[in-house]
Amino acid sequence: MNRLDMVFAELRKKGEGALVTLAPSEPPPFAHSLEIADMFAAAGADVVEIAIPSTFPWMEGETMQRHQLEAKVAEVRTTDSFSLATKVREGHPDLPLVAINFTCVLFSHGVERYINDCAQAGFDAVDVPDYPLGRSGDDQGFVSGLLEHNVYSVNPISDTLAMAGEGTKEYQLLCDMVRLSRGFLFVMAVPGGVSGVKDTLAKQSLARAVRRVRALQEKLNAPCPIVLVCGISTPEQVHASIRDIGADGVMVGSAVSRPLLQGTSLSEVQRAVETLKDATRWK
Amino acid sequence: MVGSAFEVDARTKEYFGQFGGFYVPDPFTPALDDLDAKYKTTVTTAAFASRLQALLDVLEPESVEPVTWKEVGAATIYLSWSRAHRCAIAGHCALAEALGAKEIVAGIEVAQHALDIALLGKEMGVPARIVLSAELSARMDLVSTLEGVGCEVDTETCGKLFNIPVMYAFQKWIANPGARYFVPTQVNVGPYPFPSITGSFCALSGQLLRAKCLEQLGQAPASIFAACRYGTTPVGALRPFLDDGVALATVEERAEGERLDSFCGALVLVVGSGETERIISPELAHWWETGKVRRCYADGIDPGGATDLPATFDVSTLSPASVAAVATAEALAARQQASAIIVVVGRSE
Repeated sequence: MNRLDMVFAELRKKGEGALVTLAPSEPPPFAHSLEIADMFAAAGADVVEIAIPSTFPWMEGETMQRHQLEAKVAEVRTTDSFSLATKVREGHPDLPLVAINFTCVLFSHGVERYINDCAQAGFDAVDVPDYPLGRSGDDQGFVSGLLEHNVYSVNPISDTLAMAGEGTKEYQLLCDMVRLSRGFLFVMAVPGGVSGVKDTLAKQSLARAVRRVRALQEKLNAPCPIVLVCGISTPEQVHASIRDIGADGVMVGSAVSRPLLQGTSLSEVQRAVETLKDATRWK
Repeated sequence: MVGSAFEVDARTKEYFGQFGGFYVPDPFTPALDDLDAKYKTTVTTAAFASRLQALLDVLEPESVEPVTWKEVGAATIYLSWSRAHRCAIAGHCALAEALGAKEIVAGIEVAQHALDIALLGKEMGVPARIVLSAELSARMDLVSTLEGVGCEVDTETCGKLFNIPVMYAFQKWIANPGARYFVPTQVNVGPYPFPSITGSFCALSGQLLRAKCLEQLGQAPASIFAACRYGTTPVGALRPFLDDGVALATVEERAEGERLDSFCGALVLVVGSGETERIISPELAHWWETGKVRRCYADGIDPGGATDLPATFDVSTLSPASVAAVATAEALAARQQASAIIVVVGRSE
């Protein structure tokens, strides 16, 4: 059984939402990245994404681009990120790990090699936001290849796409994405999907989007946890995402990465992550 | 020049061989498909053609008329300026206006492209938001000129983050595609349908060149060499000649030990080598793969011969790839029976 399925089932039992965090990659011996991953696990993060850097992070906001730039300057290679994941897996055998990268990494690394390395490193899923699964129907066999190794691919659905009217091309795309989702799927509030901290959360549109996706999941018999992404940074937003909007979890990227980039101590960041995790438990 | 109606190229499609594709998140596809549909219905109208012509006239581009350079053996070599970039800019601006865009956004690495967009934005009464590369951001004369005509100029982002201005411009567009229009100035920029749309606008340049060749030479030339960096000049110049039986070639400076990545996100193909990184049109790469266009490198070619050019082609103003293209054409002309060789060149950036 995929670790993501186990973790989300457990969280449902406990009435908690999932907290998904993001660890950067660095060149071996990964001292800082491993510390960050350990810190996330200690703070109660339920899923940890590990970034595989790209020289062209075109969907990232400023904070995440700074991370990518650091990795580029440090000459972090794709193989380094897989080695880092292997190390994190050794220390955390039950923690779901998700690789996050752009499609260009698939081409530079080789699709088949990428799939094999994900499986070998112990990833449970990949988050490749610009792989057009719904549009292309997986014509490169990427997602089906991953599934053969019990590795899921996480799909992003925007709040506008989630409201597509029946009979439209967008509706067909939405249905395909819901049907093809495994592990969890992202619902994002920003039309462009560019990451970064936002001051306000578009609660109403997100709540409508989550309700619509849930209804489609029921209709298509394709249940899958929904995680909100892009712009979530405060405990209040985490709480609202889960209790008011009805998501099964949140991903917090920039809000944690920014203090890490600014040199905030790991213990201080850990306390912040613990607070965010606590917010997933608020009644 | 444009004729009574601009024609959508039948070859327009989202896949261009090995390096084509459509690699954007699924939620982006409605906006991109919508743009494609609107493009196809809008550009075929006489009103669009007329407006495009008017905007091209505003830019006052050089003539593409082939100018005789020299005779080498049985061949005569002619030089022609590429108008591909200006055709692309004018075409996209005309489309933005026709679609009712409230703002045009562009990421710019070439000063002239920024000035052209600013000029057309002012002409159309549509504000332009321009993200400049780190190098151009340091040019205060350019920045003040752009701001003086009402552009909103971003001089910060490329200096502190990745120096890829089109990436940030694309982000601004995709965040609000209903109100904004993204203006790519090169054929390698933007996901589908942008490369196809840009290519079709660029090809106006080649259509005009083709008409001039028929008028001046009485027939199509035997061969055409196009200077190549990102692929805009070759796609613009060569596309209208693909079915004419003309020997077509691109000339570029070789990168050492190529590494190829392909993706159709906000840029489409990276051909990298060590410290250098190039991003090339997937359509051009497809032409190379299928043998429609020969890929030539400037290896072993002495560019020193390209000094006696006609007055309107001052060698100091030509791009390095253009100088290489001129020298390559000269070197190869002696071995050809060709009666007419055209070299399409562009300006140095």
